[in-house]
Amino acid sequence: MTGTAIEIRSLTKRFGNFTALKGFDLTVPRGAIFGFLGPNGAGKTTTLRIMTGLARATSGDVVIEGVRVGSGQRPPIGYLPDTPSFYNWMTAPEFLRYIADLHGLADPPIAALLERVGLGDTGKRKIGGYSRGMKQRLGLAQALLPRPAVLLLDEPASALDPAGRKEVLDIMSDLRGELTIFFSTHILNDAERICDAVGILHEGELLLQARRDELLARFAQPIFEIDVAPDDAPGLAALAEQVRAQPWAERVYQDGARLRVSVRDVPAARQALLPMLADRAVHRVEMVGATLEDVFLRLTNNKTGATSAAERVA
Amino acid sequence: MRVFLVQMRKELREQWRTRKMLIVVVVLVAFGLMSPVFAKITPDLLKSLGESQVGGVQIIIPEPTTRDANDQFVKNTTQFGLLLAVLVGFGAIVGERERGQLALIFPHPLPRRTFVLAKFAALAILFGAALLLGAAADYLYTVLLFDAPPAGGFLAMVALLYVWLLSLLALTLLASTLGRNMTAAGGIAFGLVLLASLAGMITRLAPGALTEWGRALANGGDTPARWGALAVTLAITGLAVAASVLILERQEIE
Repeated sequence: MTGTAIEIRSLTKRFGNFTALKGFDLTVPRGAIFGFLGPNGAGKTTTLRIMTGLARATSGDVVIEGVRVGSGQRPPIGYLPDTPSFYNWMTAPEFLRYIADLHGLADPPIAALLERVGLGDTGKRKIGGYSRGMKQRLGLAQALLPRPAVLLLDEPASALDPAGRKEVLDIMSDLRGELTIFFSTHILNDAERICDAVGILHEGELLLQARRDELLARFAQPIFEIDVAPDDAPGLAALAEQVRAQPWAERVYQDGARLRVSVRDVPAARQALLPMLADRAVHRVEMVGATLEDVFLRLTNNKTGATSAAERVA
Repeated sequence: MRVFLVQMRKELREQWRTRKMLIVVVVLVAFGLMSPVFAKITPDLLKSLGESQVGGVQIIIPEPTTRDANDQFVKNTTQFGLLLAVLVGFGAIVGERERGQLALIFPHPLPRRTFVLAKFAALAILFGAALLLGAAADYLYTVLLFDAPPAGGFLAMVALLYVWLLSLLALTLLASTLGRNMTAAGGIAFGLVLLASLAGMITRLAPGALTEWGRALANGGDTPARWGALAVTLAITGLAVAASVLILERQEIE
Protein backbone atom coordinates (compact mmCIF):
# COMPACT_ATOMS: atom_id res chain seq x y z
CA MET A 1 0.00 0.00 0.00
CA THR A 2 1.74 3.12 -1.19
CA GLY A 3 0.64 6.57 -2.20
CA THR A 4 -1.69 9.08 -0.64
CA ALA A 5 -5.08 8.15 0.80
CA ILE A 6 -6.16 11.56 2.06
CA GLU A 7 -5.05 14.98 0.98
CA ILE A 8 -6.36 18.10 2.67
CA ARG A 9 -5.46 21.44 1.12
CA SER A 10 -5.94 24.85 2.78
CA LEU A 11 -9.03 23.65 4.61
CA THR A 12 -10.92 26.56 6.11
CA LYS A 13 -14.24 26.60 7.87
CA ARG A 14 -15.94 29.68 9.27
CA PHE A 15 -19.08 29.87 11.36
CA GLY A 16 -20.03 33.53 11.16
CA ASN A 17 -17.11 35.45 12.64
CA PHE A 18 -15.56 32.36 14.20
CA THR A 19 -12.93 30.52 12.20
CA ALA A 20 -13.00 26.87 13.23
CA LEU A 21 -10.39 25.66 10.71
CA LYS A 22 -7.64 28.02 9.67
CA GLY A 23 -6.56 26.74 6.28
CA PHE A 24 -4.40 23.74 7.08
CA ASP A 25 -2.85 21.11 4.83
CA LEU A 26 -2.59 17.45 5.72
CA THR A 27 -1.54 14.29 3.91
CA VAL A 28 -2.25 10.76 5.07
CA PRO A 29 -0.35 7.92 3.44
CA ARG A 30 -2.33 4.93 2.19
CA GLY A 31 -2.55 2.10 4.71
CA ALA A 32 -1.67 4.23 7.74
CA ILE A 33 -3.50 4.38 11.02
CA PHE A 34 -3.53 8.12 11.44
CA GLY A 35 -4.36 9.77 14.75
CA PHE A 36 -5.90 13.21 14.43
CA LEU A 37 -5.17 14.68 17.84
CA GLY A 38 -6.39 17.77 19.54
CA PRO A 39 -8.18 19.00 22.62
CA ASN A 40 -11.95 19.39 22.62
CA GLY A 41 -12.96 22.25 20.34
CA ALA A 42 -9.81 22.06 18.22
CA GLY A 43 -11.81 21.43 15.03
CA LYS A 44 -11.42 17.64 14.69
CA THR A 45 -15.12 16.86 14.28
CA THR A 46 -15.61 19.79 11.91
CA THR A 47 -12.79 18.41 9.76
CA LEU A 48 -14.34 14.94 9.74
CA ARG A 49 -17.78 16.31 8.90
CA ILE A 50 -16.27 18.08 5.89
CA MET A 51 -14.41 14.91 4.89
CA THR A 52 -17.68 12.95 4.93
CA GLY A 53 -19.68 15.58 3.06
CA LEU A 54 -21.95 16.30 6.04
CA ALA A 55 -20.63 19.87 6.10
CA ARG A 56 -19.08 22.12 3.48
CA ALA A 57 -15.71 23.82 3.69
CA THR A 58 -15.63 27.60 3.44
CA SER A 59 -12.57 27.12 1.24
CA GLY A 60 -10.01 24.44 0.53
CA ASP A 61 -10.23 20.87 -0.69
CA VAL A 62 -10.38 17.36 0.67
CA VAL A 63 -9.37 14.59 -1.71
CA ILE A 64 -9.86 10.99 -0.59
CA GLU A 65 -8.44 8.24 -2.77
CA GLY A 66 -8.37 10.63 -5.71
CA VAL A 67 -11.98 11.75 -5.28
CA ARG A 68 -12.61 15.35 -4.28
CA VAL A 69 -15.25 15.54 -1.55
CA GLY A 70 -18.25 17.52 -2.79
CA SER A 71 -17.51 16.84 -6.46
CA GLY A 72 -20.66 14.74 -6.87
CA GLN A 73 -18.72 11.50 -6.81
CA ARG A 74 -18.69 9.63 -3.52
CA PRO A 75 -15.23 8.81 -2.11
CA PRO A 76 -14.74 5.21 -0.88
CA ILE A 77 -15.17 5.95 2.81
CA GLY A 78 -16.69 4.36 5.86
CA TYR A 79 -17.61 6.74 8.67
CA LEU A 80 -18.35 6.37 12.35
CA PRO A 81 -19.60 9.51 14.14
CA ASP A 82 -18.60 10.05 17.77
CA THR A 83 -21.96 8.89 19.14
CA PRO A 84 -23.61 6.83 16.42
CA SER A 85 -27.39 6.92 16.49
CA PHE A 86 -29.25 4.01 14.91
CA TYR A 87 -32.86 3.13 14.19
CA ASN A 88 -33.68 1.58 17.53
CA TRP A 89 -36.48 -0.55 16.11
CA MET A 90 -34.04 -2.49 13.90
CA THR A 91 -31.83 -5.40 14.86
CA ALA A 92 -28.11 -5.25 14.04
CA PRO A 93 -28.42 -7.62 11.03
CA GLU A 94 -31.39 -5.60 9.74
CA PHE A 95 -29.44 -2.36 9.97
CA LEU A 96 -26.43 -3.82 8.19
CA ARG A 97 -28.73 -5.31 5.53
CA TYR A 98 -30.21 -1.83 5.00
CA ILE A 99 -26.73 -0.31 4.62
CA ALA A 100 -25.71 -3.14 2.27
CA ASP A 101 -28.82 -2.49 0.16
CA LEU A 102 -27.94 1.22 -0.08
CA HIS A 103 -24.55 0.16 -1.45
CA GLY A 104 -26.13 -2.45 -3.71
CA LEU A 105 -24.11 -5.29 -2.17
CA ALA A 106 -25.55 -8.59 -3.33
CA ASP A 107 -24.01 -10.89 -0.74
CA PRO A 108 -22.80 -8.75 2.17
CA PRO A 109 -20.77 -10.53 4.88
CA ILE A 110 -23.13 -9.44 7.65
CA ALA A 111 -22.74 -12.42 10.00
CA ALA A 112 -18.93 -12.44 9.64
CA LEU A 113 -18.73 -8.71 10.28
CA LEU A 114 -20.94 -8.90 13.36
CA GLU A 115 -18.74 -11.73 14.60
CA ARG A 116 -15.64 -9.63 13.98
CA VAL A 117 -16.93 -6.74 16.10
CA GLY A 118 -18.15 -9.06 18.84
CA LEU A 119 -21.88 -8.80 18.11
CA GLY A 120 -22.34 -12.27 16.68
CA ASP A 121 -24.72 -13.41 19.41
CA THR A 122 -27.16 -10.49 19.56
CA GLY A 123 -29.84 -12.42 17.64
CA LYS A 124 -33.12 -10.58 17.33
CA ARG A 125 -32.32 -8.05 20.02
CA LYS A 126 -33.30 -4.53 18.98
CA ILE A 127 -30.51 -1.92 18.72
CA GLY A 128 -32.46 0.25 21.17
CA GLY A 129 -31.43 -2.16 23.93
CA TYR A 130 -27.70 -2.02 23.13
CA SER A 131 -25.09 -0.56 25.45
CA ARG A 132 -22.95 2.34 24.27
CA GLY A 133 -20.02 0.03 23.59
CA MET A 134 -22.19 -2.30 21.52
CA LYS A 135 -23.48 0.64 19.49
CA GLN A 136 -19.92 1.79 18.89
CA ARG A 137 -18.96 -1.67 17.64
CA LEU A 138 -22.04 -1.82 15.42
CA GLY A 139 -21.03 1.62 14.16
CA LEU A 140 -17.66 0.18 13.19
CA ALA A 141 -19.39 -2.72 11.44
CA GLN A 142 -21.60 -0.43 9.33
CA ALA A 143 -18.55 1.67 8.41
CA LEU A 144 -16.62 -1.44 7.37
CA LEU A 145 -19.47 -3.17 5.53
CA PRO A 146 -18.91 -1.61 2.08
CA ARG A 147 -15.18 -2.46 2.36
CA PRO A 148 -14.07 1.19 2.19
CA ALA A 149 -10.55 2.19 1.27
CA VAL A 150 -10.58 4.81 4.02
CA LEU A 151 -12.18 4.50 7.43
CA LEU A 152 -13.00 7.81 9.13
CA LEU A 153 -13.67 7.55 12.86
CA ASP A 154 -14.63 10.43 15.12
CA GLU A 155 -13.51 9.78 18.70
CA PRO A 156 -14.29 6.07 18.30
CA ALA A 157 -13.36 5.10 21.84
CA SER A 158 -13.48 8.30 23.85
CA ALA A 159 -16.89 7.80 25.44
CA LEU A 160 -16.38 4.15 26.33
CA ASP A 161 -15.35 2.49 29.57
CA PRO A 162 -11.84 0.96 29.65
CA ALA A 163 -13.05 -2.48 28.53
CA GLY A 164 -15.09 -1.02 25.67
CA ARG A 165 -12.19 1.21 24.66
CA LYS A 166 -9.83 -1.73 24.52
CA GLU A 167 -12.26 -3.71 22.38
CA VAL A 168 -12.67 -0.92 19.84
CA LEU A 169 -8.93 -0.18 19.71
CA ASP A 170 -8.19 -3.87 19.26
CA ILE A 171 -10.57 -4.05 16.31
CA MET A 172 -8.92 -0.97 14.77
CA SER A 173 -5.50 -2.44 15.35
CA ASP A 174 -6.56 -5.70 13.68
CA LEU A 175 -7.51 -3.71 10.57
CA ARG A 176 -3.93 -2.52 10.12
CA GLY A 177 -2.79 -3.11 6.57
CA GLU A 178 -6.30 -3.67 5.22
CA LEU A 179 -7.24 -0.03 4.75
CA THR A 180 -6.37 3.52 5.79
CA ILE A 181 -7.75 4.57 9.16
CA PHE A 182 -8.11 8.24 10.05
CA PHE A 183 -9.40 8.74 13.56
CA SER A 184 -9.75 11.72 15.81
CA THR A 185 -9.16 11.53 19.52
CA HIS A 186 -8.27 13.64 22.50
CA ILE A 187 -7.12 10.56 24.40
CA LEU A 188 -3.44 10.48 23.63
CA ASN A 189 -2.81 7.03 25.06
CA ASP A 190 -5.18 5.59 22.47
CA ALA A 191 -3.29 7.28 19.68
CA GLU A 192 0.06 6.23 21.05
CA ARG A 193 -1.14 2.65 21.26
CA ILE A 194 -2.19 2.11 17.65
CA CYS A 195 -1.16 5.03 15.43
CA ASP A 196 1.53 4.96 12.78
CA ALA A 197 1.32 8.70 12.23
CA VAL A 198 -0.33 11.64 13.91
CA GLY A 199 -1.41 15.19 13.22
CA ILE A 200 -1.95 17.63 16.05
CA LEU A 201 -4.72 20.17 15.61
CA HIS A 202 -5.06 23.09 17.96
CA GLU A 203 -7.60 25.88 17.64
CA GLY A 204 -8.11 25.10 13.97
CA GLU A 205 -4.41 25.03 13.10
CA LEU A 206 -2.38 21.95 12.35
CA LEU A 207 0.65 22.22 14.63
CA LEU A 208 2.45 19.30 13.06
CA GLN A 209 2.10 16.07 11.18
CA ALA A 210 4.62 13.26 11.47
CA ARG A 211 5.15 9.55 11.89
CA ARG A 212 4.68 8.71 15.53
CA ASP A 213 8.18 7.25 16.02
CA GLU A 214 9.84 10.20 14.30
CA LEU A 215 7.82 12.56 16.42
CA LEU A 216 8.80 10.91 19.67
CA ALA A 217 12.43 10.82 18.57
CA ARG A 218 12.36 14.46 17.49
CA PHE A 219 10.89 15.60 20.75
CA ALA A 220 12.71 13.05 22.85
CA GLN A 221 13.64 14.64 26.10
CA PRO A 222 14.47 12.95 29.37
CA ILE A 223 11.58 13.00 31.77
CA PHE A 224 11.64 12.26 35.48
CA GLU A 225 8.43 10.67 36.67
CA ILE A 226 7.78 10.96 40.39
CA ASP A 227 4.94 9.10 42.10
CA VAL A 228 4.08 10.04 45.68
CA ALA A 229 1.65 8.51 48.15
CA PRO A 230 -1.92 9.66 47.49
CA ASP A 231 -1.97 11.39 50.90
CA ASP A 232 0.98 13.48 49.83
CA ALA A 233 -0.61 14.53 46.51
CA PRO A 234 -1.91 17.91 47.84
CA GLY A 235 1.64 18.91 48.70
CA LEU A 236 2.83 18.05 45.20
CA ALA A 237 1.77 21.41 43.81
CA ALA A 238 4.30 23.19 46.02
CA LEU A 239 7.00 20.79 44.88
CA ALA A 240 6.00 21.39 41.27
CA GLU A 241 6.46 25.13 41.78
CA GLN A 242 9.81 24.57 43.43
CA VAL A 243 11.00 22.36 40.54
CA ARG A 244 9.62 24.73 37.90
CA ALA A 245 11.92 27.45 39.25
CA GLN A 246 15.02 25.34 38.62
CA PRO A 247 17.16 26.22 35.57
CA TRP A 248 17.48 22.56 34.52
CA ALA A 249 13.68 22.04 34.43
CA GLU A 250 12.05 22.50 31.06
CA ARG A 251 8.44 21.64 31.87
CA VAL A 252 6.57 20.33 34.89
CA TYR A 253 3.16 18.59 34.78
CA GLN A 254 1.19 17.35 37.72
CA ASP A 255 -1.40 14.65 37.27
CA GLY A 256 -2.88 13.59 40.61
CA ALA A 257 -0.14 12.00 42.68
CA ARG A 258 2.31 12.00 39.77
CA LEU A 259 4.76 14.68 38.72
CA ARG A 260 6.43 14.60 35.31
CA VAL A 261 9.46 16.80 34.90
CA SER A 262 11.08 17.17 31.48
CA VAL A 263 14.65 18.36 31.91
CA ARG A 264 17.34 20.14 29.91
CA ASP A 265 20.29 18.96 31.95
CA VAL A 266 20.04 15.40 33.27
CA PRO A 267 23.08 15.38 35.63
CA ALA A 268 22.03 18.66 37.21
CA ALA A 269 18.48 17.43 37.56
CA ARG A 270 19.58 14.16 39.08
CA GLN A 271 21.73 15.98 41.58
CA ALA A 272 19.14 18.54 42.60
CA LEU A 273 15.89 16.62 42.32
CA LEU A 274 16.54 13.78 44.73
CA PRO A 275 17.28 16.05 47.74
CA MET A 276 14.04 17.91 47.06
CA LEU A 277 12.14 14.67 47.55
CA ALA A 278 13.78 13.84 50.83
CA ASP A 279 10.85 14.62 53.10
CA ARG A 280 8.13 13.28 50.76
CA ALA A 281 6.42 9.89 50.77
CA VAL A 282 7.85 8.98 47.37
CA HIS A 283 6.79 5.67 45.85
CA ARG A 284 8.79 5.82 42.67
CA VAL A 285 11.26 8.02 40.79
CA GLU A 286 12.11 6.98 37.28
CA MET A 287 13.64 8.52 34.19
CA VAL A 288 11.40 7.74 31.20
CA GLY A 289 11.19 8.69 27.51
CA ALA A 290 8.79 11.26 26.13
CA THR A 291 5.26 10.13 25.35
CA LEU A 292 2.86 11.48 22.79
CA GLU A 293 1.19 13.33 25.62
CA ASP A 294 4.43 15.14 26.44
CA VAL A 295 4.88 16.12 22.81
CA PHE A 296 1.27 17.21 22.58
CA LEU A 297 1.47 19.31 25.74
CA ARG A 298 4.74 20.86 24.71
CA LEU A 299 3.36 21.87 21.33
CA THR A 300 0.00 23.10 22.50
CA ASN A 301 1.45 24.90 25.53
CA ASN A 302 3.88 26.67 23.26
CA LYS A 303 0.89 27.98 21.35
CA THR A 304 -1.24 29.14 24.25
CA GLY A 305 0.96 29.27 27.34
CA ALA A 306 1.26 26.67 30.04
CA THR A 307 -1.85 25.13 31.49
CA SER A 308 -2.28 22.07 33.62
CA ALA A 309 -2.06 18.65 32.03
CA ALA A 310 -5.55 17.85 33.17
CA GLU A 311 -6.96 20.95 31.48
CA ARG A 312 -5.14 20.38 28.24
CA VAL A 313 -5.74 16.71 27.78
CA ALA A 314 -9.13 16.10 29.38
CA MET B 1 -34.35 4.05 -8.41
CA ARG B 2 -32.81 1.12 -6.51
CA VAL B 3 -31.76 3.34 -3.61
CA PHE B 4 -35.17 5.01 -3.63
CA LEU B 5 -36.88 1.63 -3.27
CA VAL B 6 -34.47 0.57 -0.49
CA GLN B 7 -35.15 3.79 1.38
CA MET B 8 -38.91 3.62 0.87
CA ARG B 9 -38.96 0.03 2.12
CA LYS B 10 -37.10 1.18 5.23
CA GLU B 11 -39.63 3.97 5.75
CA LEU B 12 -42.60 1.62 5.40
CA ARG B 13 -41.02 -0.87 7.79
CA GLU B 14 -40.43 1.92 10.25
CA GLN B 15 -44.08 2.96 10.02
CA TRP B 16 -45.08 -0.64 10.71
CA ARG B 17 -42.64 -1.29 13.56
CA THR B 18 -43.28 2.02 15.32
CA ARG B 19 -47.09 1.49 15.05
CA LYS B 20 -47.57 4.68 13.00
CA MET B 21 -49.14 2.60 10.26
CA LEU B 22 -51.55 0.99 12.69
CA ILE B 23 -52.58 4.32 14.23
CA VAL B 24 -53.28 6.06 10.91
CA VAL B 25 -55.20 3.10 9.49
CA VAL B 26 -57.23 2.50 12.65
CA VAL B 27 -58.19 6.17 13.04
CA LEU B 28 -59.22 6.67 9.40
CA VAL B 29 -61.06 3.33 9.20
CA ALA B 30 -62.80 3.99 12.52
CA PHE B 31 -64.09 7.35 11.32
CA GLY B 32 -65.00 5.78 7.98
CA LEU B 33 -67.14 3.26 9.83
CA MET B 34 -68.62 5.76 12.23
CA SER B 35 -69.53 8.47 9.73
CA PRO B 36 -72.71 6.81 8.37
CA VAL B 37 -73.59 5.56 11.86
CA PHE B 38 -73.31 9.07 13.28
CA ALA B 39 -75.41 10.40 10.40
CA LYS B 40 -78.05 7.77 11.15
CA ILE B 41 -78.28 8.21 14.91
CA THR B 42 -77.78 11.97 15.22
CA PRO B 43 -81.47 12.84 14.65
CA ASP B 44 -82.52 10.16 17.18
CA LEU B 45 -80.01 11.54 19.67
CA LEU B 46 -81.33 15.06 19.24
CA LYS B 47 -84.90 13.83 19.56
CA SER B 48 -84.15 11.99 22.78
CA LEU B 49 -82.38 15.00 24.22
CA GLY B 50 -84.95 17.67 23.50
CA GLU B 51 -88.13 15.84 22.54
CA SER B 52 -87.85 17.96 19.38
CA GLN B 53 -89.18 20.90 21.30
CA VAL B 54 -87.27 23.76 22.88
CA GLY B 55 -89.25 26.52 24.60
CA GLY B 56 -92.40 25.66 22.77
CA VAL B 57 -90.64 25.80 19.39
CA GLN B 58 -90.84 22.53 17.57
CA ILE B 59 -87.62 21.50 15.79
CA ILE B 60 -88.19 19.43 12.72
CA ILE B 61 -85.29 17.06 12.14
CA PRO B 62 -85.36 15.63 8.65
CA GLU B 63 -84.73 11.96 8.05
CA PRO B 64 -80.99 11.37 7.48
CA THR B 65 -79.89 10.44 3.98
CA THR B 66 -76.81 9.32 2.06
CA ARG B 67 -75.91 12.98 1.73
CA ASP B 68 -75.60 13.27 5.53
CA ALA B 69 -73.34 10.20 5.62
CA ASN B 70 -71.09 11.70 2.93
CA ASP B 71 -70.99 15.05 4.70
CA GLN B 72 -70.05 13.33 7.95
CA PHE B 73 -67.28 11.34 6.21
CA VAL B 74 -65.74 14.42 4.60
CA LYS B 75 -65.91 16.33 7.88
CA ASN B 76 -64.31 13.55 9.93
CA THR B 77 -61.65 12.69 7.36
CA THR B 78 -60.56 16.28 6.86
CA GLN B 79 -60.38 16.96 10.59
CA PHE B 80 -58.58 13.80 11.62
CA GLY B 81 -56.63 13.46 8.37
CA LEU B 82 -55.17 16.92 8.95
CA LEU B 83 -54.27 16.10 12.54
CA LEU B 84 -52.70 12.76 11.62
CA ALA B 85 -50.76 14.22 8.68
CA VAL B 86 -49.16 16.81 10.92
CA LEU B 87 -48.54 14.49 13.88
CA VAL B 88 -47.08 11.66 11.81
CA GLY B 89 -45.13 13.87 9.41
CA PHE B 90 -43.60 16.74 11.35
CA GLY B 91 -40.79 14.71 12.93
CA ALA B 92 -39.94 12.72 9.80
CA ILE B 93 -36.76 14.62 8.88
CA VAL B 94 -35.98 16.86 11.83
CA GLY B 95 -36.28 13.86 14.19
CA GLU B 96 -33.61 11.89 12.34
CA ARG B 97 -31.40 14.95 12.12
CA GLU B 98 -31.80 15.74 15.82
CA ARG B 99 -31.12 12.17 16.91
CA GLY B 100 -27.98 11.99 14.75
CA GLN B 101 -29.24 9.27 12.42
CA LEU B 102 -28.65 11.41 9.34
CA ALA B 103 -24.97 11.79 10.28
CA LEU B 104 -24.73 8.01 10.22
CA ILE B 105 -26.56 7.29 6.97
CA PHE B 106 -25.76 10.26 4.70
CA PRO B 107 -22.08 9.32 4.29
CA HIS B 108 -23.44 6.12 2.66
CA PRO B 109 -24.65 6.37 -0.95
CA LEU B 110 -28.03 7.86 -0.06
CA PRO B 111 -28.64 11.14 -1.92
CA ARG B 112 -30.58 13.64 0.17
CA ARG B 113 -33.06 14.09 -2.69
CA THR B 114 -33.81 10.35 -2.61
CA PHE B 115 -34.17 10.49 1.16
CA VAL B 116 -36.85 13.21 0.99
CA LEU B 117 -38.71 11.65 -1.94
CA ALA B 118 -38.79 8.25 -0.22
CA LYS B 119 -40.12 9.86 2.97
CA PHE B 120 -42.88 11.57 1.02
CA ALA B 121 -43.70 8.46 -1.01
CA ALA B 122 -43.95 6.30 2.12
CA LEU B 123 -46.26 8.83 3.81
CA ALA B 124 -48.32 9.08 0.63
CA ILE B 125 -48.68 5.29 0.51
CA LEU B 126 -49.66 5.09 4.16
CA PHE B 127 -52.30 7.83 3.98
CA GLY B 128 -53.52 6.59 0.60
CA ALA B 129 -54.06 3.06 1.90
CA ALA B 130 -55.65 4.27 5.14
CA LEU B 131 -57.96 6.65 3.27
CA LEU B 132 -59.00 3.90 0.85
CA LEU B 133 -59.78 1.51 3.70
CA GLY B 134 -61.64 4.23 5.59
CA ALA B 135 -63.62 5.11 2.44
CA ALA B 136 -64.43 1.44 1.83
CA ALA B 137 -65.70 1.10 5.40
CA ASP B 138 -67.75 4.27 5.00
CA TYR B 139 -69.21 3.11 1.67
CA LEU B 140 -70.14 -0.29 3.12
CA TYR B 141 -71.98 1.17 6.12
CA THR B 142 -73.60 3.85 3.98
CA VAL B 143 -75.02 1.14 1.71
CA LEU B 144 -76.23 -0.79 4.75
CA LEU B 145 -77.89 2.17 6.44
CA PHE B 146 -78.90 4.38 3.48
CA ASP B 147 -78.98 4.30 -0.29
CA ALA B 148 -75.71 3.69 -2.09
CA PRO B 149 -74.00 6.94 -3.16
CA PRO B 150 -73.07 7.23 -6.85
CA ALA B 151 -69.91 5.13 -7.15
CA GLY B 152 -68.19 7.48 -9.59
CA GLY B 153 -68.89 10.55 -7.49
CA PHE B 154 -67.82 8.76 -4.32
CA LEU B 155 -64.51 7.67 -5.88
CA ALA B 156 -63.92 11.19 -7.16
CA MET B 157 -64.48 12.48 -3.62
CA VAL B 158 -61.92 10.02 -2.22
CA ALA B 159 -59.41 10.99 -4.91
CA LEU B 160 -59.88 14.70 -4.17
CA LEU B 161 -59.54 14.11 -0.43
CA TYR B 162 -56.30 12.24 -1.17
CA VAL B 163 -54.88 15.10 -3.24
CA TRP B 164 -55.79 17.48 -0.41
CA LEU B 165 -54.08 15.16 2.13
CA LEU B 166 -50.95 14.96 -0.05
CA SER B 167 -50.62 18.74 0.04
CA LEU B 168 -50.78 18.66 3.84
CA LEU B 169 -48.16 15.90 3.98
CA ALA B 170 -45.86 17.86 1.66
CA LEU B 171 -46.24 21.02 3.76
CA THR B 172 -45.57 19.04 6.94
CA LEU B 173 -42.46 17.50 5.38
CA LEU B 174 -41.28 20.97 4.42
CA ALA B 175 -41.78 22.07 8.03
CA SER B 176 -39.79 19.05 9.16
CA THR B 177 -36.90 20.09 6.91
CA LEU B 178 -37.07 23.74 7.92
CA GLY B 179 -37.35 23.26 11.69
CA ARG B 180 -34.12 23.26 13.68
CA ASN B 181 -35.73 21.00 16.28
CA MET B 182 -38.91 19.00 16.79
CA THR B 183 -40.75 21.81 18.57
CA ALA B 184 -39.97 24.32 15.84
CA ALA B 185 -40.90 21.82 13.12
CA GLY B 186 -44.22 21.08 14.84
CA GLY B 187 -44.98 24.80 15.11
CA ILE B 188 -44.11 25.46 11.47
CA ALA B 189 -46.17 22.44 10.35
CA PHE B 190 -49.28 23.60 12.20
CA GLY B 191 -48.70 27.13 10.93
CA LEU B 192 -48.43 26.08 7.28
CA VAL B 193 -51.44 23.77 7.48
CA LEU B 194 -53.47 26.45 9.25
CA LEU B 195 -52.47 28.93 6.55
CA ALA B 196 -53.58 26.52 3.83
CA SER B 197 -56.90 26.00 5.63
CA LEU B 198 -57.49 29.72 6.17
CA ALA B 199 -56.75 30.38 2.51
CA GLY B 200 -59.91 28.40 1.77
CA MET B 201 -61.95 31.23 3.30
CA ILE B 202 -60.41 33.79 0.96
CA THR B 203 -60.10 31.99 -2.35
CA ARG B 204 -61.71 29.07 -4.14
CA LEU B 205 -58.27 28.13 -5.43
CA ALA B 206 -57.11 26.93 -2.00
CA PRO B 207 -56.71 23.18 -1.29
CA GLY B 208 -59.78 23.26 0.99
CA ALA B 209 -62.02 23.79 -2.07
CA LEU B 210 -61.22 20.21 -3.14
CA THR B 211 -63.01 18.73 -0.13
CA GLU B 212 -66.14 20.77 -0.92
CA TRP B 213 -65.96 19.73 -4.56
CA GLY B 214 -65.55 16.08 -3.56
CA ARG B 215 -68.54 16.26 -1.20
CA ALA B 216 -70.70 17.72 -3.93
CA LEU B 217 -69.61 15.03 -6.42
CA ALA B 218 -70.38 12.24 -3.92
CA ASN B 219 -73.81 13.73 -3.29
CA GLY B 220 -74.51 13.69 -6.99
CA GLY B 221 -75.27 17.39 -7.03
CA ASP B 222 -74.61 19.83 -9.78
CA THR B 223 -71.53 21.72 -8.72
CA PRO B 224 -68.93 23.76 -10.55
CA ALA B 225 -65.63 21.98 -11.04
CA ARG B 226 -62.70 23.33 -9.08
CA TRP B 227 -59.91 22.57 -11.52
CA GLY B 228 -58.07 25.67 -10.43
CA ALA B 229 -57.98 24.45 -6.82
CA LEU B 230 -56.78 21.04 -8.02
CA ALA B 231 -53.94 22.62 -9.99
CA VAL B 232 -52.97 24.88 -7.07
CA THR B 233 -53.02 21.96 -4.61
CA LEU B 234 -50.86 19.80 -6.87
CA ALA B 235 -48.49 22.74 -7.35
CA ILE B 236 -48.27 23.32 -3.58
CA THR B 237 -47.47 19.62 -3.11
CA GLY B 238 -44.78 19.58 -5.77
CA LEU B 239 -43.22 22.85 -4.66
CA ALA B 240 -43.20 21.86 -0.98
CA VAL B 241 -41.43 18.56 -1.74
CA ALA B 242 -38.97 20.29 -4.09
CA ALA B 243 -38.27 22.94 -1.45
CA SER B 244 -37.63 20.20 1.14
CA VAL B 245 -35.09 18.60 -1.21
CA LEU B 246 -33.30 21.90 -1.90
CA ILE B 247 -33.22 22.90 1.76
CA LEU B 248 -31.94 19.53 2.97
CA GLU B 249 -29.28 19.48 0.25
CA ARG B 250 -27.96 22.81 1.54
CA GLN B 251 -28.12 21.94 5.22
CA GLU B 252 -25.06 20.94 7.20
CA ILE B 253 -25.71 17.83 9.25
CA GLU B 254 -24.56 17.75 12.87
